[in-house]
Amino acid sequence: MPAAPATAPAVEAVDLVRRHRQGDTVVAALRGVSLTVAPGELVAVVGPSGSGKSTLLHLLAGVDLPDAGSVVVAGVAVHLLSEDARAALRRRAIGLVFQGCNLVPLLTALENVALPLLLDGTPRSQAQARARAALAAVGLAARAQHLPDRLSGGEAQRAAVARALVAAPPLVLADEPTGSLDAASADGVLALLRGAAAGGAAVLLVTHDPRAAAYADRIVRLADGLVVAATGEAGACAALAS
Amino acid sequence: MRGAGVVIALVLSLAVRHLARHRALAAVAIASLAGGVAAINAVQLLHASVVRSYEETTTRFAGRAALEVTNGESGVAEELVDELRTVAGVGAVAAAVTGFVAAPDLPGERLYLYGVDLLADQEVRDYGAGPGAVVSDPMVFLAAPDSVALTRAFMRAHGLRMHDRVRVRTPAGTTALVVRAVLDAPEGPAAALDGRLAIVDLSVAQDLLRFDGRVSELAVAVAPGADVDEVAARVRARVATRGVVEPPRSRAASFARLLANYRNGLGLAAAVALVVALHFVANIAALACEERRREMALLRLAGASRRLAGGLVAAEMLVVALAAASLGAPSGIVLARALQARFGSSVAALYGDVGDAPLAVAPTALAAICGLGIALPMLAVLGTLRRAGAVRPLAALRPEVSRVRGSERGVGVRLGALLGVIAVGLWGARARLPISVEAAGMATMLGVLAALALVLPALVRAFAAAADAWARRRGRVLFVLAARVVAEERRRVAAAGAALLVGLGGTIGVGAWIASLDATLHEAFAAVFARVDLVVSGGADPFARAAVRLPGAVAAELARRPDVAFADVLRVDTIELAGSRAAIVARDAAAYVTGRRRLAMVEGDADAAARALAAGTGVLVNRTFARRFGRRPGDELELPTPAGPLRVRIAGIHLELTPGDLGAVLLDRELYRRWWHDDSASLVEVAVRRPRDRGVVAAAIRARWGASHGVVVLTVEELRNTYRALLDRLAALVRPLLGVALASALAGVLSTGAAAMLARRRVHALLRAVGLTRRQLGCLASLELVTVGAIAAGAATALGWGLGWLQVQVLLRGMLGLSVDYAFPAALAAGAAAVVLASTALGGWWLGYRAGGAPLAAALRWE
Ligand SMILES: Nc1ncnc2c1ncn2[C@@H]1O[C@H](COP(=O)(O)OP(=O)(O)O)[C@@H](O)[C@H]1O
Ligand SMILES: [Mg+2]
Repeated sequence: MPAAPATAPAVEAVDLVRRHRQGDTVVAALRGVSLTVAPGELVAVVGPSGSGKSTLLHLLAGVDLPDAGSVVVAGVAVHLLSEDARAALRRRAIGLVFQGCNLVPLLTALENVALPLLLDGTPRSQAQARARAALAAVGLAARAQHLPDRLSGGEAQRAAVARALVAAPPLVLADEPTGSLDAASADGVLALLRGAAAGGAAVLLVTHDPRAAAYADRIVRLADGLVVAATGEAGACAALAS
Repeated sequence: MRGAGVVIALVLSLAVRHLARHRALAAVAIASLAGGVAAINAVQLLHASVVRSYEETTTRFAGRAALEVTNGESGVAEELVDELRTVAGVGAVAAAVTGFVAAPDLPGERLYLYGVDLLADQEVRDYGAGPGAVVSDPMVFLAAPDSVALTRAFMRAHGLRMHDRVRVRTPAGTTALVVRAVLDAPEGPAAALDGRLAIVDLSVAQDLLRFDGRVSELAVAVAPGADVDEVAARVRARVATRGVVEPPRSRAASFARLLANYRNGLGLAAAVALVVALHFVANIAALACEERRREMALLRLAGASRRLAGGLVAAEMLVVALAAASLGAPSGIVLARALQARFGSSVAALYGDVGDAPLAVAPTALAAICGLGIALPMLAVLGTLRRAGAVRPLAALRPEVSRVRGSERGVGVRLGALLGVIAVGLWGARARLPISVEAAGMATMLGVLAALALVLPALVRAFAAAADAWARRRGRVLFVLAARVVAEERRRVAAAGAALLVGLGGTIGVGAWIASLDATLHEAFAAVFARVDLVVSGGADPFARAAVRLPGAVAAELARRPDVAFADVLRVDTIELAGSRAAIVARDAAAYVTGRRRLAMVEGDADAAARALAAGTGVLVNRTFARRFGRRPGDELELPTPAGPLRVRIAGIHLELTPGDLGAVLLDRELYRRWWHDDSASLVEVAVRRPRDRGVVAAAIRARWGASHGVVVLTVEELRNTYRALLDRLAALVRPLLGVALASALAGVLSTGAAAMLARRRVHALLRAVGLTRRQLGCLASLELVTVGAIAAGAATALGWGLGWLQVQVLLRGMLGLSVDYAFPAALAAGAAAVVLASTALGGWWLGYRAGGAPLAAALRWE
């Protein structure tokens, strides 16, 4: 496979279809969604509950597989990889943040952040140094040795962002990371994601939060498993987000 | 009131549902608890039945006698009858010669041959006045020496009629007796021993049982108006050291005391089972508590009191305990039934033959044991209940709270440590304590077992902490995670590990027991039966209950055979000594002097001992004797014999294999013959001139004495094989059982592992989202389970070593008097541990790998 050019998108999804079977009925969560995010870009995905936002994110992360369509991340066709190869790709190329309970309860904040590096076989001292730096970058240097249940909701989410960023992945996916946070904490987390985009990562943010629009370069609106609207201008973003 | 009923119904239904969800663990807890209750129940039943039967028999035979004079199976001198009749206040004296004989025409039947002086005896006892009864016309009966009186019950059972002939096999050979009287008295001797009574004239019994010049016992009736205590004192003074004078009741009581040692040993063994069961129960309670924190917190949020939360777990334990008790009570009876014959023969071998005792279930004892079976588990989970009650309502609001840092409560651990220290200290100080070594050993084992149970969660925690620290230094994140999970779930791990611990520990323990017996058997045969080719005994294998002594003449004729190199007689008898019984073992000392046979000395010089034995001035004792009677080599002994007190010096301590809880005294057969007037043989050890003629010689012996004496001839190999087969049968019985226990414990570990996988679905999904591969998840789960396996295997090796030691050094040596040398089955232990480690590792890997195949997206959903 030829090396991807610098301008190539960090993630490219084409005609994604995903159906869920529930008893006798089949629910089509995605019915042909295409989406591209370039490095350095922060894209917000909005839409009503059940419109397929999480499903899209799962397909991009290789956590789930499409029934049809393709996903290419950093030049690699995710949907063609084996289970373990997808896991390895996530360690190196994809940072993930979810709405709540992102952290492994038995590991300290520092260990949680170092996790992707350690799972990938990075030497301990190096992994620890990078994890410390990532924690410091999200303002949690003092909380490194704390277990998740000692962190507040906002702190836990910031630690989750630090973990998503620690391996400097080209793609960061966040599924309603501010869903259970107060306004101030939510702003902190969104600012961190914005920072990641500024650092060159492609960031895809699934959100309900109207403020998220202020941070996004572009907004994609999903409804009923389809992209119904998209905008590239910050001005129109606010209108779309509401 | 109705409100309370509703709450109770709710609590019970929740308890039953929770138990149903943990079927396997609940079943193990109930089964083991029921097993413990059943074992204790069975031991108590068997013991009570034997004691009751003995008591009934003695009182029935005692009749109007206020005192009895006895001396073990050795009996007392016949002259005592006339001597005691002259003692002031004595009304009547009746002598009896007793012993079990086989009835070869009625397979499996034994008769209690009871020889009495019929004319004198009726002053003391009632025999009943049925048609043709002894009482109606003693003269007809006495006119013929082959007369026997049987009970109506026995005759009906075997279709016998008056004037029928009944053959009996006795130490004098096989003789036919003619039924000339029927016994019928419902209160008298006829009602004892299930009617297996055969009354003959005293002199006939003396002849048949080889009781020349002696009688088994004397019954003394006190003259009207005389004071029993004063008469007893005078009778005692006259008998002096020739026997023991006791009222019949106290004789039964001393028999019960003699047997108490045996019962306590068995009871403690059963208690070990109960402690193990309690461990299971405590673990399932801890599990219930941990698992239902959220449920209980929600109940508390909904307004339930602390008591209700604790009541939830208590209800569950009550269900377990009730189920166990109601299973244990009937199983105890079934177990007792199954063990009855074996118990009877071991009592016969250990203390003397008291006949067959019918099982008698005492409702109060049964209720008490069931109550114990219910109360103990409730006590064992008190701490857990308190913890359950202390769950705060807020706990419900934090779904995945980590409790790794929550400090251990410490009470259980400290108690466990204290118990362990006390137990070990007890063993260390056993010599200075007023209890027997057996009791000290038992207490130590129980203490260590309970301590192990209490500290197991802390052990798991310490192990996990060490693994955690090691893994953190190395940056092995999977190890760190596994260690934290184990620490977090230490109660669950301890519960699963405990089952494994018991299964594995039991396997190793029994393995140790069998290996030790095997090793000792090997050694013993090499030492004791060196140069012996054949073992000749009467009626059955030499140590069986149905064996009948052989006349000395048989032994003498055997020795004279041209194809026999030598024939050594062994005679085993019992005497009363220092308020207890002791065994007398008589052998030809000349064999030791000439070097034909060897003495296996424990203490003292073999040559000097042989010379002292042959001179008739010295005896040897076994370890049990030395310990029980507190005697040392050089001490003087005064042995009561039918011919009066025999004074000898202990010339040394030797290895005596004759089974018996009784201490044993080895003396020269010549001495025995002189003082006991008895030349019969319990068994004869024969060496043939040409080893290859062994089979021919055995056949010739059988042909010569088979019909007349029912001799059984075994080659030493056959005898050894008999014992080895016994061991193999035992092993064949025990090993599959333990295998099943081990397998089900492993299955339990895997099923708790599977449950844990489900419970940690979201954490695993998170890990996989972060990049954990399926194989890494397999490794993680494998590490978790193998930790359980490793801790269980480690603790089980220690437990197995201890259990084996307990069985060998304390149970076998102390109770059965077997000097068994302890052998640890290292190969078995290593093999079993390897199986456990391999199956937990593979099982864990499989569980993790399988869990890794679950759809990730669904598990990650926050909604
Ligand atoms: N595992 C599943 N089984 C059945 N239906 C599912 C499953 N996952 C998602 N769905 C359905 O797919 C649709 C899209 O879900 P989702 O992507 O979670 O929406 P959003 O994140 O936009 O709220 C919904 O109708 C949801 O019910
Ligand atoms: Mg969603």
